[in-house]
Amino acid sequence: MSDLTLKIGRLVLANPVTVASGTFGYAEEFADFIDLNQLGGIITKTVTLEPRPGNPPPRIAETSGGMLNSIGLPNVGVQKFITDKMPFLRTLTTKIIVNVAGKSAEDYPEIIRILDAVEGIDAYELNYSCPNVKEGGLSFSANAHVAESVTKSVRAVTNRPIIAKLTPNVTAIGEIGLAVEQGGADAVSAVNTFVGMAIDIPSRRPKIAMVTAGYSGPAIKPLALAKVYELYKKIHIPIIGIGGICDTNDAIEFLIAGAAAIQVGTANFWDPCISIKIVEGLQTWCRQNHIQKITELTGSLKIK
Amino acid sequence: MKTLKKAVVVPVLANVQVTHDTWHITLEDKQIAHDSCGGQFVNVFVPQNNGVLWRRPFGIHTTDPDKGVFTLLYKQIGRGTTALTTVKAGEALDILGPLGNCFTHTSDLKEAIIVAGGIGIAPFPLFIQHLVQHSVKISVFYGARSKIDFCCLDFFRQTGVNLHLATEDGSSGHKGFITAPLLAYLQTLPDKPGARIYVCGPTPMLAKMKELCRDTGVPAEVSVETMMGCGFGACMGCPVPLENPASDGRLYALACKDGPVFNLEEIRFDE
Repeated sequence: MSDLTLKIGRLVLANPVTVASGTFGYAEEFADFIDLNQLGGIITKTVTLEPRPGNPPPRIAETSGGMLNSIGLPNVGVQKFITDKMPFLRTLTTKIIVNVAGKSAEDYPEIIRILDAVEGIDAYELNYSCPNVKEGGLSFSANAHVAESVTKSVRAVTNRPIIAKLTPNVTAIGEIGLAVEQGGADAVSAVNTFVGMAIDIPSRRPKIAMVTAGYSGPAIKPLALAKVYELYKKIHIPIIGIGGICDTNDAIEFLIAGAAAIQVGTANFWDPCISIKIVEGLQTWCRQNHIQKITELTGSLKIK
Repeated sequence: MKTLKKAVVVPVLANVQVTHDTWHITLEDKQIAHDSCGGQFVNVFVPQNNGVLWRRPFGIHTTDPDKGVFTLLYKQIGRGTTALTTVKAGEALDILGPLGNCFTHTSDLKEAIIVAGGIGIAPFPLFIQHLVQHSVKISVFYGARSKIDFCCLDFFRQTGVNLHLATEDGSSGHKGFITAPLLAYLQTLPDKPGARIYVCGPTPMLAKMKELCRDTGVPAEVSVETMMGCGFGACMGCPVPLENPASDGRLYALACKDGPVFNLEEIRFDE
């Protein structure tokens, strides 16, 4: 058996495979299909201070090799998250990473302060970058100063590990990565969805009610991989790679490019068992390739 | 006991074209054949074709628990269903199921009035199989564009349901929408309190049905058809607007998880 464990700051994961926020509900949706405790970690659907109804339909559209979504972060709000969703999550032995978003910069430390009193949460992922929210308030990771100060404000109220989820829709993602590192983030997850759109020709209407949407799926994998590589060259904290990962080889590519761990996202929708298949696939691949520790792979890209 | 959803690879026993655009596929899985109820669906992973990613959801059409088989009726519309038509007997399909909820059969039900438009007929035979065993009177109002679009007429004749047809071109039954003969029927219905409508069809028809049920006072359940990213509540891509906010403040239900069957008066059709 190869050693698949790794550290994200102080957070120890049993293996590098986690599941992306917004693609895995609050885990209970997948409990019929897989043994959730075989995962390295679970990143919850975004939690906000107040409940959100989400965007009107159509929210999703399928394109060749990818999908568009503009869901709008529907959720029950932090208080009901604690009473309704945490009891199940607390029964799991895998790491629980709660994804948090704010309408304003002040929301972030406020939600974290509330969640910090709750047992069973191992880390936070700060959603700085959902492209689908009307307020426009979620573009905190498009500006390095803002990203740094929001991260700092969260760092000030918690000792739990914090992971900043970055948008790829910026000119220089490395600068943003450095800013959240300065702000005290333990890790970054990269990347969130790319802004995209699709049009229904007969009606000339956008295929998504909100017009533009977040683009994900296998089509974005090369783009996401390049962002992870760019970050790896620039920052010193671990990177959790995300973007179109559909199988074990995709996951390995992200590790080689510089990711310490990965998130499986859109692929969960058509194969609810895919995350576990990738955990098993990594174990097999490491054994076959005589990799003692999965951490050897991170950033092992050979360029010549 | 709650039925577990599962991901399973099942043998394809037959995949047959039944009209110019509609197919009937027979799949083998004991558990799904045994546990499914009318209204539930399976989410089918279609063979990779032109970049199709999502599974395609189909209402379970019929089951044969003794033989351990179930069937789906599907219309060839886009990339996914076109790919599905190429699947042959002897091959296998990766499916999730059974998913979603069922049409309700309460003990006071005396007459089930089934209203289907086009491929909206698909989920009803399974429900009818169930109702027949409980000696409920069944009336079927089935509308289509033209005579050539009708499916499962033999099934309805064999089952002995009270069948009403309508076609837009007048090639069979009433000329026009099925809602016209339905309205006439409801107006003369002797036992309204024991009757319940079950409807599945295109959105304009559902909007019309909502009006009609309000006017006649006959309650209705609807099976909605929407795009789905996952089919089990994870992607939240299949919101159904609610007429009034739910007790927990939600403005939308999810077709896959809260449905696909809803009380018609509870949901809103915006267009």
